Amino acid sequence: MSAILSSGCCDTPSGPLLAIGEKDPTASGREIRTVALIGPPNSGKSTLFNRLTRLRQKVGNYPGVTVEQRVGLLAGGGHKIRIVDLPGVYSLTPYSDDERVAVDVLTGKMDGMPRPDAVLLVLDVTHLSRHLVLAAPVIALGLPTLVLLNMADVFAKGGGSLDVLKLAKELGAPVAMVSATQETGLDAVNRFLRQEHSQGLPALLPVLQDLPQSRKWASQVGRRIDYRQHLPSAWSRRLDDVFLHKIWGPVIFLLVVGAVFQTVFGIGQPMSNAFQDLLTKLGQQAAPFIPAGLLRSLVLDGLWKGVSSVLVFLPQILLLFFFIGLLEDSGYLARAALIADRTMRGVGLNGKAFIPLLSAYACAVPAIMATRTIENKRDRIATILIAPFMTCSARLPIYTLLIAAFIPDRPVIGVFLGARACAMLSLYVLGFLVAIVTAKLLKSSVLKSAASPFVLELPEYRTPTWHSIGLRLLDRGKVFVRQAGTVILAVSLLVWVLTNLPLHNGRVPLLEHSAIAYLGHGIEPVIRPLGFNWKIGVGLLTSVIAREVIVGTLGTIYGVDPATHSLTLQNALHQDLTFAGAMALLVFFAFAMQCTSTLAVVRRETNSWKWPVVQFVYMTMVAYVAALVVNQGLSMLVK
Amino acid sequence: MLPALIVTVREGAEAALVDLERGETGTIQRISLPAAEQQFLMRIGFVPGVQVRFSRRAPLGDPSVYSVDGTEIALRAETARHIMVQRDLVQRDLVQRDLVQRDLVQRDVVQRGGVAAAGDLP
Repeated sequence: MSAILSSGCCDTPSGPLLAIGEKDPTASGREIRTVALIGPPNSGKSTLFNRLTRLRQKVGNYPGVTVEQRVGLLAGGGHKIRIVDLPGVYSLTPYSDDERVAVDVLTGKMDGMPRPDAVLLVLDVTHLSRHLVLAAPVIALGLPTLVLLNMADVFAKGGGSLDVLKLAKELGAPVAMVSATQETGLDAVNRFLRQEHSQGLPALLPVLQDLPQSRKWASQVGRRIDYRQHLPSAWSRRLDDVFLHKIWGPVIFLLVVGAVFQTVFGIGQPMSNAFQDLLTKLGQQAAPFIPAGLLRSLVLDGLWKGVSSVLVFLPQILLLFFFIGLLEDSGYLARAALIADRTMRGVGLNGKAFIPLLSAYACAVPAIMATRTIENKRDRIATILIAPFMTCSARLPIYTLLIAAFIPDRPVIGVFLGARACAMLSLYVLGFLVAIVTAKLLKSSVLKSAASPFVLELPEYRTPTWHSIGLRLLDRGKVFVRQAGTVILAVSLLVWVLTNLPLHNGRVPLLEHSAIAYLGHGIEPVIRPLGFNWKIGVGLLTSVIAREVIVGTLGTIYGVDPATHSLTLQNALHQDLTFAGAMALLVFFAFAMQCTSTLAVVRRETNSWKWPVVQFVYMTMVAYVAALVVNQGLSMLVK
Repeated sequence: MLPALIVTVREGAEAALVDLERGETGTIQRISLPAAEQQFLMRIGFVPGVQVRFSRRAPLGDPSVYSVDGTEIALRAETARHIMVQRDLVQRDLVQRDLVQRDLVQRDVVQRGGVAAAGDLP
């Protein structure tokens, strides 16, 4: 049975878009319930997965290894079909965790996962010589396999061509030309999966362990199917002549980076603030509808506050991801990484860490999510671990408060740089320096990269599509709200309970008599050497939700509203903090990991509690020691 | 249709990939790195017998971009130093010409280096 199943969508010079190879017609058919999606890295597999599932997917972890497990449901009518997105692999020789997972899933050896009934093999048709190598071992597994040649649009546009029918015959499997980004040819997938499949005889394909041998086979196949390589567009080369120019390259790089940064701060910050005000107002509007007392306090100060502190990050996160998406989809991100690599190498990281680390100056959460572009796992974890040292915008409220309260407004270098600006700048530098030292430490010890040289693929320049960027924003936004949201909500509720218990004659206690105040008193002996008393201690405890919370807490403790009486708060602070103590508190905030969202996202991105715990302990230790040194040192100097 | 361009590749001296000049091509001979790194580089396309072109240097001098299988891949000098290639003499002459000519050469190079002829190379 050799039949053409589809034609239409886009015109490739070679004719039919889906062709089916030889199959044994006598074997009994069966319905497909689970299908595995496999392909090499950069084959467009994730985009295809998102398109096929329309983001109806669950993200988890494979047992025993830190390999992400993505499972989704195929969109469209008919019975439910689960799609398992396997990690990107070049071969089925189990060298890495990724390949081991892929092999285990495909052979049905993975715990808690039935053997897939079919396989979708995604190959980038513009790099067929390299990607075809994966086809032999995958098809030889004997599962019904549909080979999807992705990037068909780019391939056809560049004058590439091949005989799809011949390829299907060579591989003994149906082949379809698709474009995940343009969403063309995807109906072939549905048709393939909704069809009854016979457990046909596996095609006789050479499964070679030796790569040069496999490549020889691939090139022979290439010749038999009249494969004609597409011509990379001359545009990409011309653009690179500018973007990677010796002088213009770095200049444009700095301009782009500066513009992104400026926009995120210039628009993102006010947007976040306005959003915060809106959320607070909404809470106040709702207040009369909730019976006064403990319930209202629980709903507004506990639940709503928790929800708002999650949502308030959204404008900045989405804005940053909009820019990162724009840079990534256009192809410029890879060029930026190329330019930054020389500098990043000094700290043992690579150029791909640059944009994530830069984003961390706005907020560590999107920065950590943006590290997905770093393929090297150790480099990625190192980047995740140092990102929160960058001075994020949540540190600014406490920085501004303490600097205004304790540092006199004196000029340091003429009129250009005052003492206050100087203090602020040193805090930025301090965070950066500790990040570099930490990176060096990590990269020369636990996270020393073994055996994977830095490689960076420069994709062709493309016009980003709203659709693709929109989908990504939706995905990242969802992940953040769901993952960080649940943890933050839990922590906010805990803090609320601690602030409102134990009840005093059936009433909410004053803050001094609450459980959290006892905890503050409890940690006082530990933080006294830093120059902090129990009130600051309470502030430190509540600020585990998010750094800026300390300002509100201190305001509550001193019985003043921070928005209107910040001057009074500044004066009040003088009663509890010496100059040395205030500086110690600043330094503490520069280093400590007081951000539940970040911890939640680190857990999500590293797929284990190990790294967020390590990060929390390490950062707290650094913060403690640094604050201790500052307080003790300055106290001695002042005496 | 584009006129066919017949290129006979004469073998030149052996050199490290990093030492090629801009626009010059060579055929990969061997990768003198530990097995794991060798595997890694081969998977992304740096397979012995395949043709590589030195595309350009990054603005700060390193890494450099190489064209292999029609893909532009950047490698640091510390890696490219260990990939040994045989210089292709003819290619070097042709790429000196104007842009149109260069496109023709590239198509040919890409085809030879890619699926079409990797197995046929000496």
